Amino acid sequence: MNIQVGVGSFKELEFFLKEGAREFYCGLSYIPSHVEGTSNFKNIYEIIRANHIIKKEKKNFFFTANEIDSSAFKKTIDTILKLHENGIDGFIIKDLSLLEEIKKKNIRPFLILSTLSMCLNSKSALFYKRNYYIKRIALCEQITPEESKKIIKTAETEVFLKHRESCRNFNGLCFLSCHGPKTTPCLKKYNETFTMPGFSREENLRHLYRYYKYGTKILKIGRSPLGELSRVIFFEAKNIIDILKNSKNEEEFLKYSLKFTKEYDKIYKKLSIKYGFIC
Amino acid sequence: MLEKAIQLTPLDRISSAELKKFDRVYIGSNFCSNLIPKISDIIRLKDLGVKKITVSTPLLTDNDFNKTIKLIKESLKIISKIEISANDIGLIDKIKEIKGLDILLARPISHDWLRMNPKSLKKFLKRFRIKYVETDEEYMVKRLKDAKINFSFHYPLEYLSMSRICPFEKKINDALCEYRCLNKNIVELKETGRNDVIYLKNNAYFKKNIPVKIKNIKRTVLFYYGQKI
Repeated sequence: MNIQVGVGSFKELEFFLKEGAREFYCGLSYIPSHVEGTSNFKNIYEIIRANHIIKKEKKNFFFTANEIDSSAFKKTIDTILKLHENGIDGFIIKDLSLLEEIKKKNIRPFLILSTLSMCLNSKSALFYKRNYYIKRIALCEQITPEESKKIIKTAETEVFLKHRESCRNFNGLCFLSCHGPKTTPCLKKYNETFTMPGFSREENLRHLYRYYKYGTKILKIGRSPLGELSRVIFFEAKNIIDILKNSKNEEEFLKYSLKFTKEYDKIYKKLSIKYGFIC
Repeated sequence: MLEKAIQLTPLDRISSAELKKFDRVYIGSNFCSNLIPKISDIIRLKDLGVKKITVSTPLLTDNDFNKTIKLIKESLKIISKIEISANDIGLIDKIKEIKGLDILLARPISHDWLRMNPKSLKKFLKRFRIKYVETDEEYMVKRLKDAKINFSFHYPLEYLSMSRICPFEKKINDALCEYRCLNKNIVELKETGRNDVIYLKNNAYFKKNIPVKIKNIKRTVLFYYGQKI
């Protein structure tokens, strides 16, 4: 399993290249891409320059344009064409109309279907693959590895490190007033005792083990608005992949990964106090 | 003429006299896979004298996908014309050729599609043979009022979010369900220290909305949660 990590500056890129990330992705502030307040490269030329650096290391670089906004549609497609011409490997897309437009332009970049597309079954995966040449699917955070088995057989897949980075509700279809890690409504308390339910840490770690066994190749680290947080998640992911590779079975993986992630909790706790996000 | 419909889950019990106040009945859920109706639910509605039925379907895992296709085929043996309110792209693509079916683009995917550029949206609606776009957003209907798109408008609950882990059962909604949401038709949730209320029904969260009169709205759909009709 290799790591794909979101980057928003040359400093971040240099750091993650040195630490051995296999794939990189980025966004631009004027192209909608879901995460609010995340760090982005300043312009398309910076992305082209970053691509040259990544290519020298024989690694892959993707650009994310995974929100729908009809007002930014033309700008989005122009940016995609320009980046494609300049050799970026591919794009992370959610919107059907954007996929349709890319197809019409007769270009065939490596397309990753965003986790926000809510592709929950192999028939939907096939639809995207046959009609839009989707090569990889970012698996929806809310389905289990067992439910994903047929999708994993249909296309390459990637998953997030879900015990650190996932939404409790269907994130691609969530319209709660969420503006980044400081406001997260799904982590708040309602009626004194109610919190919106999500998968437990144990479930998420078991999922990761099974995704790995079923053939998911990429572990994805999101573009956190806080650079320091992305680095911590990256190191945790690297160590968890080591535990995955060295565990004899799921129970052994769970035992060591649970112990290990608890150690990381202390770091997250300190960061949450420092930056004021809900952890 | 504006058609009046009511949205029921298979759990809802409602008298035939109350049902008669509506031109059409929606059965199922666009949010929870444990609320996909059974063929017996369709038969029950038919026996109650309901003539126009819409089957509401949620996002589907592979297992639910096959169950849904089976339900659609069995339903068509009982009723010659049926509507499917669908939000799963794989399902929409699969059923678009089936005769006797009308397809509605369901919430919550419709929230996304309505934000496409109108030209692309219309092309997709035509390609997938979509009769109405289901929405609960007055703002979006107004924005697209000149686009010649027909809507069915859901009220009094506007979709906000949905969960895979049932808020009532605290487990994933993929298997055996005790339908603990049955007697808690709607739960008001108030964030500590704030006045805004969100509403929990089944596995989804909503805010309140009201039906609006706009020419593109061809149908209103009352979301039933045990309220007096």
